[in-house]
Amino acid sequence: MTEHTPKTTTKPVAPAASPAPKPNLEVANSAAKGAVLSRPEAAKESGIAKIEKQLAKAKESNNTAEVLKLELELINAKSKERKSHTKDPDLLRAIELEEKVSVIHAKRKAKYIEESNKLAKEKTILGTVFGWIGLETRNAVGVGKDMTSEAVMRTYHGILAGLHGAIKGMKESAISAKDKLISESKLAKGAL
Amino acid sequence: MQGLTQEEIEDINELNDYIKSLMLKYKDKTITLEEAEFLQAHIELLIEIEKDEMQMQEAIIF
Repeated sequence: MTEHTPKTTTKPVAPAASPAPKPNLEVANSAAKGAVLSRPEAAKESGIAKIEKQLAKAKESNNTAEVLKLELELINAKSKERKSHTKDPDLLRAIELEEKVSVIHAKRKAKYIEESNKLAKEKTILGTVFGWIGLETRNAVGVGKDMTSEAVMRTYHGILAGLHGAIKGMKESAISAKDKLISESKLAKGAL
Repeated sequence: MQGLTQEEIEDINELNDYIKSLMLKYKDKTITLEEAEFLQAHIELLIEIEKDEMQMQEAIIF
């Protein structure tokens, strides 16, 4: 018995639209060289990055106590990370010593920042006091100036009033002289 | 060295001695990669400290 095999038509296979992409050798090489971190190392790196972010925020908000705390945490994390790369006892000891030096420096810096903030506060208070004295002095001088100008104005007005009185008096005396002349002339006319 | 305890001074001196030994190794070209990396990190730390110290000095002057 022969099986009937259906006729199969062989269709030409369409050529691939584009050749298969070549592997990125640079990425592969860097991965081979260890640029891609293993999981625990990546976690350590992200831990350091996290502390660094928090530190930047604390520095922005001027929180000295928090800055010191985070700086010490960062030093500790970095030191641990460095220690994990070596087994040389001398190097391990040196990293430990360097951590101590970093801690000393961080504490010194924090103390300095705290003191300078305190000094800045004192300067602000002193500046406010001197500013207030200056303002009051300026006001006092201003009032004095106004008083002087008032006195000058009054004197000026006095002089003007005096002049006005003098003119008025002269005018009145002239009128009375005129009236006298008129009455005298009337009398003279009557006599004639 | 102002404001440092005796222990801290001793630690700093010990670190200095180690750095000196590394410098000698560097001169003799017998330094390992790890040691050279440590030396580099140490120099970076020194530069950072120096920068901070300079900023503090400037702030004191002004």
